[in-house]
Amino acid sequence: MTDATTSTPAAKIDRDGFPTRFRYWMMDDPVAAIGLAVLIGIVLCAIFADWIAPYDPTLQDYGAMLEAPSAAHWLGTDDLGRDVFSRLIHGASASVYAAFLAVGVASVIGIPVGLIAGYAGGWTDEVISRILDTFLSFPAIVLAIAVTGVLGIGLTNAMLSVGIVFAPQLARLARARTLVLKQELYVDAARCFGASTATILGRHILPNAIQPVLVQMTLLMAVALLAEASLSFLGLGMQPPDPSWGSMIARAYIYAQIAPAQIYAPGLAILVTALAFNTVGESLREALDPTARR
Amino acid sequence: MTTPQAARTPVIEVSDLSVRFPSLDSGSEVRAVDGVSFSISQGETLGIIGESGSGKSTIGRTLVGLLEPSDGELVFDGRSSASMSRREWRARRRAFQMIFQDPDAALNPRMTILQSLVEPMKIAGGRSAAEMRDIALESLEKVGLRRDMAQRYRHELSGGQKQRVNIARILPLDPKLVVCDEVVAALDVSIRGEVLNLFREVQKELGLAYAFIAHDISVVAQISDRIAVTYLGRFVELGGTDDIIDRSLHPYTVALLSAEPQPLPPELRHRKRMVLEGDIPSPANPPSGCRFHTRCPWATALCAEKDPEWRELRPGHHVACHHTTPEGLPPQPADRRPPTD
Repeated sequence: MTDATTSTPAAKIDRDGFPTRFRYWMMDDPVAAIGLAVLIGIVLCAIFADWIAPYDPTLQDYGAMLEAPSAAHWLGTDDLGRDVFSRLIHGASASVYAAFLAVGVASVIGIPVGLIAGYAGGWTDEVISRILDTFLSFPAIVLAIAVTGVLGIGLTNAMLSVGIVFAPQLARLARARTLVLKQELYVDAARCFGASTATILGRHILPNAIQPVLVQMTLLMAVALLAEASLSFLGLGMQPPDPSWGSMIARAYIYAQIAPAQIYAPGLAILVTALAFNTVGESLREALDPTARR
Repeated sequence: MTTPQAARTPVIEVSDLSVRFPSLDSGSEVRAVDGVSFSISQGETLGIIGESGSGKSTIGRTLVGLLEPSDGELVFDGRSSASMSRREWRARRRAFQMIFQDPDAALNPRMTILQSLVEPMKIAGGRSAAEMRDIALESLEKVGLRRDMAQRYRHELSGGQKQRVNIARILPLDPKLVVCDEVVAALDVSIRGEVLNLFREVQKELGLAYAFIAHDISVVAQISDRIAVTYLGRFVELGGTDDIIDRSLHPYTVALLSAEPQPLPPELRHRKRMVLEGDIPSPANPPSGCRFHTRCPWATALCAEKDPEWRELRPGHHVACHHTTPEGLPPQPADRRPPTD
């Protein structure tokens, strides 16, 4: 082989570190950079809500109910005279927390279960798959109602149950990929090296199976935001007077005919956040695939 | 090329190995390997040839523990694999490695070459990260690749380079036996020779044994000390390379050799083409008696009834055929096709 003998002067052996790779990723995909900036902005809003918000989000002002946007209240006020902008900023933490909790629970349960079912096959796979089917047939809201009925009403309990309902979706994806990947020769090679099942799953199957799972996770983030909204709308999630985007829509909905302005702000916030999650997820999938690089 | 067998210690002894798979369409079983016995000595190369479906790859995968034998025994250094605990077996199997036909698929696409090289050492344990890195880079040079290839991914290498990486990554494990499953079949003809030479050099340096599986006789003959010919999950002939090539005793070996292209005009060819009729029968439903009798020009009623014995007709040269003699096969019966030799 001719190239075996020629040597480049500054032969680089290690790949670029994370900061360099991150910079390339962001330069390559400006849309994802915007998406990431939006997400960081929302997280910052959630953390520094007390400093950013001009008013106390629970402060009621009966002299200024259902007001249209003005200089004093940038996004108007709700039916109890609370500042919508302040509630929106404070609601970000509830919504982001809800989305991450639900998807976190779903992936912590779903991904390992899917990997194990796919890799073990046979009897184990049969049992796990039937259980997954059972959970898939459950509407998320119904399970959330049941869980909050037992554990008590609250955002955390509600989103835990949403996470449980999401888990089978991730498990099925992970299982399907694992079924294909466990036949790969590099998995056989790892077995020859004496690798344990955990090593094979963690080092060989998971990194190659994660792509579609990652995309599904970002989609689920968006769905979780909406689920939070629905549950808070039903009164099972965030409890008044604390704000969340879902409960804000719920209240604004009642007065939509008299004061239509209030429903747009939380609605747009959910839309933009969901879009940002999807953009970043899709781009992350590409960035993590070495074969997709220039 | 034949080496005295008794002088060297076997690294692996296989006795009466059978591997059966459940058949998909019926309740029956597919006998991929059916009662095969052999041993491989230290530093020796045993070539295993046969058509696809003859069970040669199954034998190879069983040797390294990727498949479990249904029957029979594998003995490593005097100890049976069945008597070992899972943990012990996992540690011990590192001495038995495999190089696969598809050099690309044998490397994880998400790992850099360096990560792939370090992985087997990581699993084996006992070395620091810096040590493993140094050893990995050394191995890379040993197989004739530049150090900076280490930062690449598998899709950034050529087929030959990838097969070199696959060789490099088993070197630090200090294997005793390497199963080479059609290792050059996926490579360009122009680089096959180089890769085969690399296999030879590595063998000389480390004193390891090869089980060299291929369907291409010319490749196997180049590298093997002994050759085993498989047909439908059984060995039909086993002997030194020269014996198998020049003094073949089994009709199937004769047919296989005659199928090898010869770079000569027809009138100068010393072997006539012997064309076998039909396809290899299904291993789910093998023929009675001698498994080759359905396609053999020498077959008689005896062959359909009785399974031929595994006989040592010449020193170190075994064959399973009713009609062959130590001097070779008798002329073909007149009512069949003209004799081959």
